[in-house]
Amino acid sequence: MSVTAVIKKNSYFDSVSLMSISTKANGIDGVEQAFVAMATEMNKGVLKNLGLLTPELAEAGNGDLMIVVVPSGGGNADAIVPQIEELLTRRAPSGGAAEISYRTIAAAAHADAGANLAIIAVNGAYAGREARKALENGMSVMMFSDNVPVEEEIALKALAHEQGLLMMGPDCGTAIINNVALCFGNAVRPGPVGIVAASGTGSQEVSVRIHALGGGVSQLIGTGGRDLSAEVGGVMMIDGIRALAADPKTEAIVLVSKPPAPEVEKKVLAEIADAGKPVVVYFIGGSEEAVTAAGGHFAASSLDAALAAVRLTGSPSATALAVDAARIESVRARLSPEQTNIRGLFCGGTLCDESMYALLDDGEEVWSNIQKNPEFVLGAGNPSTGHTFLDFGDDEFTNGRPHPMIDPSLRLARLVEEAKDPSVAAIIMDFVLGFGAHEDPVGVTLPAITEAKKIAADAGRHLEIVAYVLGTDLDTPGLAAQTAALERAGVIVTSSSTETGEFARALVREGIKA
Amino acid sequence: MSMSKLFDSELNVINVGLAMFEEDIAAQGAKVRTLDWTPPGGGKPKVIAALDKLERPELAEKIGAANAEAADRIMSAKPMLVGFGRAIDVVPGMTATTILHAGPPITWERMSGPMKGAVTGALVFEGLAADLVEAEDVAASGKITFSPCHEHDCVGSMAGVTSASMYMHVVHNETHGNYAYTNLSEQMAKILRMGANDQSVIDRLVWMRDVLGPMLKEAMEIGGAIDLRLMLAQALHMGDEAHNRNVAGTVLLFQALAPALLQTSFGTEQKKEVFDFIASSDYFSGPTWMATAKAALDAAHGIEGSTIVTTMARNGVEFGIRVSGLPGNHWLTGPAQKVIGPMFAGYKPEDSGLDIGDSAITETYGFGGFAMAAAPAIVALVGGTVEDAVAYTHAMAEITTTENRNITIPSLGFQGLPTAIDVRKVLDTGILPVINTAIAHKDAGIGMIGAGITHPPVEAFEKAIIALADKLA
Amino acid sequence: MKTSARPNRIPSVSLDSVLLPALRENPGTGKVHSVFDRVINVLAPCGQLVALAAQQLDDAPWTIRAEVRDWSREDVQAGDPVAFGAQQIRFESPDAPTVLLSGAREWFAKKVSLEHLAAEEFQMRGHVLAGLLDELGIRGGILEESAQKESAHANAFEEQIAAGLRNGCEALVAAIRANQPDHIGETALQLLGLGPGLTPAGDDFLSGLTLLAAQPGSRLGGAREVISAVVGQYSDRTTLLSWTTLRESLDGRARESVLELLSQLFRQRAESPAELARHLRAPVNRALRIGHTSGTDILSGLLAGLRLETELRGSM
Repeated sequence: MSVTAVIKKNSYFDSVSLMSISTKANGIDGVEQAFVAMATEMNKGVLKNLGLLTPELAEAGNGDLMIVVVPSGGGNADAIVPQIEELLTRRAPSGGAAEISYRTIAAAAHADAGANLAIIAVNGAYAGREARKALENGMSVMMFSDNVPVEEEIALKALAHEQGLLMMGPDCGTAIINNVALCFGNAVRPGPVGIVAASGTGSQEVSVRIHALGGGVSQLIGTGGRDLSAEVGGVMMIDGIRALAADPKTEAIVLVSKPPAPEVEKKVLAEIADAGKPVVVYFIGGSEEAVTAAGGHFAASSLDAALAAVRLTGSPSATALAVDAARIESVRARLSPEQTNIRGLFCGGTLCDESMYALLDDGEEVWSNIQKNPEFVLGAGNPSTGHTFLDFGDDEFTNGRPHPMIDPSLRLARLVEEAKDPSVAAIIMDFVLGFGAHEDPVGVTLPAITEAKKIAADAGRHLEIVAYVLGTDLDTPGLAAQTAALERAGVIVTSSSTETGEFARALVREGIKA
Repeated sequence: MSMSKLFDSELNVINVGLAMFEEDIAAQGAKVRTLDWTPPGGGKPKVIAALDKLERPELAEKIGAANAEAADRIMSAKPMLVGFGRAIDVVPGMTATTILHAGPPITWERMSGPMKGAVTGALVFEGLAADLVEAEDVAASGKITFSPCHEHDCVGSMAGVTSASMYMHVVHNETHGNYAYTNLSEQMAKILRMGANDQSVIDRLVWMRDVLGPMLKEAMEIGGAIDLRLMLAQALHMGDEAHNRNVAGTVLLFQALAPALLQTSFGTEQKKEVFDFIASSDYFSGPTWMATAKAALDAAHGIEGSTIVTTMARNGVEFGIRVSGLPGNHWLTGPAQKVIGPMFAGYKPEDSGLDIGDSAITETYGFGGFAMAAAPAIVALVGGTVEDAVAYTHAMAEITTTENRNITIPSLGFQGLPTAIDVRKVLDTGILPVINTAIAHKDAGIGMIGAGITHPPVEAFEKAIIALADKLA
Repeated sequence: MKTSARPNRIPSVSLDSVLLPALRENPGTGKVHSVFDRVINVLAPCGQLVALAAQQLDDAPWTIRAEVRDWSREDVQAGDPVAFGAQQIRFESPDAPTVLLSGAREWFAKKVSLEHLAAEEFQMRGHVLAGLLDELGIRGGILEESAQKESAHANAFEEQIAAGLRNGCEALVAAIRANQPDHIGETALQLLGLGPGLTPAGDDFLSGLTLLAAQPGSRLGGAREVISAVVGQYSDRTTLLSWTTLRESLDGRARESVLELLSQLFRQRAESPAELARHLRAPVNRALRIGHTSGTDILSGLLAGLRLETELRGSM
């Protein structure tokens, strides 16, 4: 093999330059292969093994740079060498202007007039101040921070309202603005459905379901969980409805919230008439009459809400899968008579709510850390009893630690704990994919699932684990891979948050102890 | 409503707090910039509460107006050099046994080495003590009144030690009517203000009292007033920052004084001595610019509601600031800092005394460290690069109120000096004023050993904001 | 105050604490070894390679961080004479700068005690580091290119180097696990100088591994001694820069970004692997910015060390 070598005595190039020289040398016409390396013994040994070590190269010392070129069939070594020499003398451009960093929102806004949204994720004690600076500088705000006093929230929202800006939050974890998912959100198709949501996972679920049904999302505006309280008065939700009403890319609007304060609900519903677009209202456990009277489309579930939105925006025939009765039957058949209880272990508050409400609707008693009925409130430290549904994303569990979507450790321990209880028929879990979430929520849980199943099996029971994966095929990791991994571990995977609730309800309604 | 504007524009995010969000947003193709964020006021609840109070709209409006007024007074002040005279004759409150010093108030016992050296030297010079040993006893005896220069319309470079028979610049602010004073440059490195006090130092002070001072006084009577603001603006256009680099300013000042100096009643020999003395160091005009700044800033002091800094001064132990909206001699202090910069051959950083002198009045006005972009040559003296010098001036714009329309920096497109330091902005950004200064030896009797850059202690600003909030809110 | 023309003097921000006595005891003239945008390496009279780094780089053994953003504007060429003194380092060519040492903060390489850590703690940390490295690491050195990329780009030389690194690392780990000193020496020598860059990937791997081994309480002390002897004997097998770096790692001294990661790795009280991973993301990212693949290769060595510590402790 003919070899052309250039040796640069005592020449040192930093690694990045070396890479660039190597890449460029390989790109020269007539070069089949080019290697650039320091002439150490081991590197020369490699060349020798390849039959490329010329006597000249063998002489090179460990402070010398070797450039070895194997010309291709038509390559002319004489023409190649000067080009390589040129690579060596050409100075790599310096890194260019250093990135200027700014200390304050005001300074950054001053430097970049195009900045139009600030994400505030600092300690709640400072968050209000930063948000105010952003609003004063003409930027909309997404405030991820929590522990912000309600008076501050009211003042910020009033200021935003005055300025015609969005004030999403405090405690707003999900938004999609101009098709960019912010903080915790899923990769969904752009489309005609606009969402205004007071609950993070609730809005994630609706956006993901819309995507799964073939629809798409124009904007997802988060309001923060407290927006529909009597104190705050739904300022952001109302402004959000108006903004989407004025947005030509939005054809239908979906509202998502836990039950609002009654007077606020009235105010919000009054906006529907002026929207000039169909508005789907999914207020968990809300009243159909009020919504219909206000001219809205009532949705009883997150799936309903997604279906309605997709049907209203060009896919009238969209349908969702019904609960598979045969699958329920097969689960029931495997349970023993004392297995009567369902335990729900959730990351997503709305997902927990939706499943819990499915049971409550049937008059079941459900204990939970997010129960409205004080008699059935269960603290984080209390053991489960009867049907227990826990939201691990609630403050009581997250206190001082990351959200369970990022740090699953508490839920993993609880899963194993629940498996030891002989009264448990099924454990229901959710897995949230998407931006900001754990990089492999299923993978990190599988060992605990296996252990839980083994504990039950060793005690002679069958333990059913039912899981819902909130995500899309566009998320990383994708929905399909996570679902497959669960199914391989013998987990029943449901197709939506709503179906998850229905599944639980069906198990209980038929009487688990058949 | 501008929400539709948001929906129609490219999303452009400023991310504050959690860097992890940046990656996801950038991956989706949106523009995102994460701030180099630190909690305002260093995260101290009392400081933030004070900042918040001052940001209430009605108060913010009042402060805004007061600060605009303060900035306008600084810029519109027209300091004129009108004469020279002995401290005892011109300085308000001066007595034969008064020693003025740099910085906030300090007792003899607590003074730093350089200041003690200067005080004892001055007592010998004034004949209040026979020698330096006796001078220490006199200083400690309680018979000497120590008082800050700043509280007597004066400023004093380095130790700032000013005694009754020293000659002073007399600067008159024509616009607002007030006066400012400062003593004369001793040139050289081994000098009283740097803490040196041997016989050569005393001899020079005597000559300055007997020859230089009177000749300057007479020259001013012959030549008439000199517009210092105009001259300062020229000096900055010629590459001075007028704190550590005074080459141009000294030439300009001498050019203005020379004809009248020649016409004075002194003999040729003495005139040559004076000319040689002026030529012996570029620093000759340094004190002149300090008095210029003092005359302007005193005019801006005491404006109800203003958060503008009107004094930054150090006594070698403490760094003190005064703020316009806290009138009178309300000093807010913190520990004096180290000065970082190249040292003269043979000296080590351990030899350095802490930051000292009233010369930070220049930065308070907007030149010195604030105008480093005007004086790229300064980096050889204080360290750093030309880019750093420009960056300093840009950074100071983040903590000041306006640009001085009268004094500009050609290389920045004639941008005006960053003017009127706002206590609120300092704490909001965490950016402290930058000060160019000399380094005195930590021990008495040695003198200047280097030059460099320093910053005020943040404590002084924290105390100021709390005091302002208490007063205004 | 005098402002007469002064030579170009550059103050220093910080310097390695071992430099001062070395320079004090061995003043004299050395020469410029190599010049990069952000680092000038100079050969001191004592034979030591000393790095003059731009201030934004991190502290490191035998390194002085000077108050410059980059050196490209300074007129300094490889081979230029350099005068070394306890107070300053002066490039002896017209217009070239003098780097002032007085006033610089002294830097010390910190150590982390591994004495009382159980096998599980190493295992957890290894697991976390492996995850981060897999996610964030730069491929092309010890971390191999992913399969599809390999077929597209690699040429014979790169394949051989990759195979050499893979085999060498595996063999070295096996030899340490089996506690065979002869083998350890042989396999370390196979890695020394292997890889194209200025600090070959094989050396970087050894650096990471020996850095851990040099921490107090490490169970890899025996292996470190053997590798140290080999590195000492074969200084001609790799570039001077790389050899210097490796020798310092053997003494537990490395760039601050790597030491900081090591310290965070063990001092960080983490409730769970996920939390630890979250804490470590930033320091890992910083360390990965060293060189092109160097950071990744060093951390790969560190990871191999963590795994060996796990095994060695588990069996006791």
